[in-house]
Amino acid sequence: MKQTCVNLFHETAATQLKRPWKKYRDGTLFYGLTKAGSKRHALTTKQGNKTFYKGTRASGVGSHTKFGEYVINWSKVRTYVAPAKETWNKELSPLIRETVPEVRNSFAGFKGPSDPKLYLKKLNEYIVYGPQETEDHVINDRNVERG
Amino acid sequence: MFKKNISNVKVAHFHTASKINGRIRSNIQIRAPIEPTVKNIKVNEDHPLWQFFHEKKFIRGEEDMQPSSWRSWTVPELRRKSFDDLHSLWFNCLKERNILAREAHLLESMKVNGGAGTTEQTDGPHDQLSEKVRTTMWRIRHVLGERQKAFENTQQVIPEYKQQFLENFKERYLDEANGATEVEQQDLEDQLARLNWALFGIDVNNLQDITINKEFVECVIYNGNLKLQKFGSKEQLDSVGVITNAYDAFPLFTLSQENSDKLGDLLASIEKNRSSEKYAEIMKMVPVKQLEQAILGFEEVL
Repeated sequence: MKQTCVNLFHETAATQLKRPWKKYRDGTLFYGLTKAGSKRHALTTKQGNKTFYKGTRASGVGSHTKFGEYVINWSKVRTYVAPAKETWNKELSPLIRETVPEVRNSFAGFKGPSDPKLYLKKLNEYIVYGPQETEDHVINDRNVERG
Repeated sequence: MFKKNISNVKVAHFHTASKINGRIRSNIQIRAPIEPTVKNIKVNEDHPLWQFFHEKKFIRGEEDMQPSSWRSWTVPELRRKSFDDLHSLWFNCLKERNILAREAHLLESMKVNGGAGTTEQTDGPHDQLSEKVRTTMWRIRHVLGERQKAFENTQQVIPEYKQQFLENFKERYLDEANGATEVEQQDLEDQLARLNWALFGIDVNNLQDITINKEFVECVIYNGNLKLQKFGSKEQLDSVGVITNAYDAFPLFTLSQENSDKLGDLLASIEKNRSSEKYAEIMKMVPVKQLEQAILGFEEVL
């Protein structure tokens, strides 16, 4: 059977990088050892050449000095910002019962959730009524709200 | 004392180290040995590692979990939530996935034949629930992305609408019919506070740690003119005129319904400022510097 023409699938820069197409001047591939063989398996660190990133992106938060010390670059260290104690709402469950009906949005009169007109309308509603539901923004009997 | 303690215990011989130990801590009591079982281990109720357990259970059974009776949060439901709520929910999800991963790992290690060869084709309840929680989490990110996009889109059109917002509010605020009763007046003041927060980013109730920038200057000038027109008489309005700089506006910015009788004093201080020598110099400054001067000067007056 004739092989599928893989060239057709490689249209974007991202897809180009997924397979070892590109060559360096010395003839070695950008990563991967060979262009032949099974192309349908993901490359792992065991197959890739020197340019293939072999890490979990967990380390490498600093650099070694010439005295053998390691200096941590704190801007590379990840930080996790948990909610403050006062604002942490522990009652919000990660999942909802299947029996609870799903709410839907209509966005009637607006393009969608990112429409600036909707944002301005909400801003006006906030100024006039404060952080509470308005007549426009309330769920109807068929579980549809403006959004 | 040491001898006294020892005499109570029917032990033939003590090790030298034990004797020394007994001499240093003379009140040492010998008790029955504690059996090394799980029951004898006491764990604090608020131990942080309990966060990896569901209601302090070792492991949940399938009847406790029932993956088919739970669903993820939908995007419209998350759209109703505030940032703080979404932030909390994200971390609640993270903790739930930690619990599920711990339990799944435990089950994996308890398999009789080991992992290889016994892998099931269908996901277990832990994987199913974990996947649903993951869905909730990407939807949280989706909603936050939408909000950011809406904010960015609005930033492009806000200059033309901002003035409109301010004019509309001014009409309502100065309309005598709106602020007839005390409750209505209080409502208008709340609206003004929300307007300051929404359009200028100034929290009027918390001015302690505020940075003086262009928005704050605009806010002070707008509020100053508004207060002057609301509480001032016609003569006062004519004498002061429309305020265009932050130096004059700041004293009026501090005015509210309760201390509206102080308006006369404040206007007098504005007049005094205007007649002073350094007024011309201050007027040449950028608005932010004018406002800094006003705040410093106002504190001296107080």
